[in-house]
Amino acid sequence: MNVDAPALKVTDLTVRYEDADRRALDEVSLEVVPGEILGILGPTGAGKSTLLQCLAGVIPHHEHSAATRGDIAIFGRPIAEFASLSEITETVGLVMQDPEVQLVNTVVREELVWGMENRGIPVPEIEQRLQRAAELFDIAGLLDRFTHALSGGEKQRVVVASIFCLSPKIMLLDEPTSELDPAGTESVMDAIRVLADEGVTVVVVEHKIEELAVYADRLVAMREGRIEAVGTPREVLEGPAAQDRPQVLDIALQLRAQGLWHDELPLSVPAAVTSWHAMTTDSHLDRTLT
Amino acid sequence: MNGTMLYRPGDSILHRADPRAKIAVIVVVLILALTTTRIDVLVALTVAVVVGLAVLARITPVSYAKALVLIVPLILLLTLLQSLVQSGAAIATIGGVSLSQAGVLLGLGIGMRLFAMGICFYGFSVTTSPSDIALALNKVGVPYKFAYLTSFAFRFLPLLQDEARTLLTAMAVRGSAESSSRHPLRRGRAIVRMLFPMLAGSMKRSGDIALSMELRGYNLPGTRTFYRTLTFRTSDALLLVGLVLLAGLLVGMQWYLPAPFTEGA
Repeated sequence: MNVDAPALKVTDLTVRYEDADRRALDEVSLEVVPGEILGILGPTGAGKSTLLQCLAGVIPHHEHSAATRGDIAIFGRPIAEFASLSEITETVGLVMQDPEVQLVNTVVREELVWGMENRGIPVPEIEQRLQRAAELFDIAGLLDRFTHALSGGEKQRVVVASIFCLSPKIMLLDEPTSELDPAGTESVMDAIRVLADEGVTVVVVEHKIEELAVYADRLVAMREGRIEAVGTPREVLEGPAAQDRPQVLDIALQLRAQGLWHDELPLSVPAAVTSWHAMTTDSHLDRTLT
Repeated sequence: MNGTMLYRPGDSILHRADPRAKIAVIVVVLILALTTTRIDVLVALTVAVVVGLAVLARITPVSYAKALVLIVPLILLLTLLQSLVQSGAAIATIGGVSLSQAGVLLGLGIGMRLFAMGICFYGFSVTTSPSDIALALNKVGVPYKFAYLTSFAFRFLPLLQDEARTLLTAMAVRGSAESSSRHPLRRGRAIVRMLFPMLAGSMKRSGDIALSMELRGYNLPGTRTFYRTLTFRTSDALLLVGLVLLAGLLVGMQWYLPAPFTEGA
């Protein structure tokens, strides 16, 4: 593993599923640097999940029916050089969309330790990682619960935590907060931020654009298997390729069009409040001075 | 845990017992049930299992009443069939049809065996955590990959139950009177109709589950660690001593006591 190389490097990746009338991914090229949170946006069918599956090695190591062309390198090592999916999972962790199919044990505690046991991690270290995951994902109270009895949001947090326990260098998350309420979403996104700060590379597919705008370092906008824009959240969301924007940004754009917003466009409600406060205070000051 | 055969946490003697000791109990009960032909020995074995579960695990027949509703008619049907097809002295004649005594004993014997073994398995599954079952099987020599599948099956029983419930509800809200009917035949028709989509859903899901397991190292070669450990305590040894005594008593019964009827089973 070359630590100086990009965590993930995708070059001209093209994927076509058997019997599909168009390419799921079309000449996709992308680089993800270590410790970065990369958010992937796009409507249904844009190829986001397919891209994640390719990055995790699921295509072609597990899903054989898709025809692929192009290259992916994980820390400089071509994915084709990995002997099996299991070998890739030592570096890359994938959280899929449906938590139900990823909970394969009856009790939450067993669910979290199962992957670590499979890897032969010593028990004291398992215990440490378990406690850390329980704290980070706020699931300490769930450890002795049955997995089938959890709510959708709780299942999602347990699934993300179970992959976190494996300490992958790269975490790929496919809509990890789709069943979470706003507080749960914030808790998971905070945990993701902590992971990135510790050097873990995170690629997250998410429809909650408000969250991505705040937490992601860079965004990728996809449509029909192609990348339409890559850049900082501001560059992508303010640009013409953005198919969807945070509501607060839309409002600010409309106000700017009417000449009512002069400050930097906000990507989040707190940023909007700060800008609004600054603008209104300035105008109050202007009126006072005149 | 919902569902009749699924693990229910508790603090009874059997809940706390080492699963290996419980597996030994099951094996001995199976051997006793399948090797005796005496109805009195089978009755004694069944009573021992029922009383044992009530005392050691606080599992009374009320807990498995639903299963009894299915098992008892099955035993009666088996007995009736055997009494009609077996030859020998008649125990009764109804409307000109003779019911063979040997057939009645044979049918009751088969029923008792099924009952004793079924209730024994029930007691084991409701008092033993699925992961402990896998661990115990592994400790007695079953490779972990196969042992784990028992635990895995218990995980997905509730999932199938939920899916079945969802499909029946979906059928009901779209106007299917059968899916919400209490009539067993109509309800049965709805269940048959639901089976195909449930199977199709399970097949689709199985691929994702296999992937998810692989992503977490299920197929990795090398040594696996075990977070939980099993401890064989004095109480487990006592359980086995009790089991040996019971087995000795029943074998002695078979050898030294005269058969109460003609040997039936």
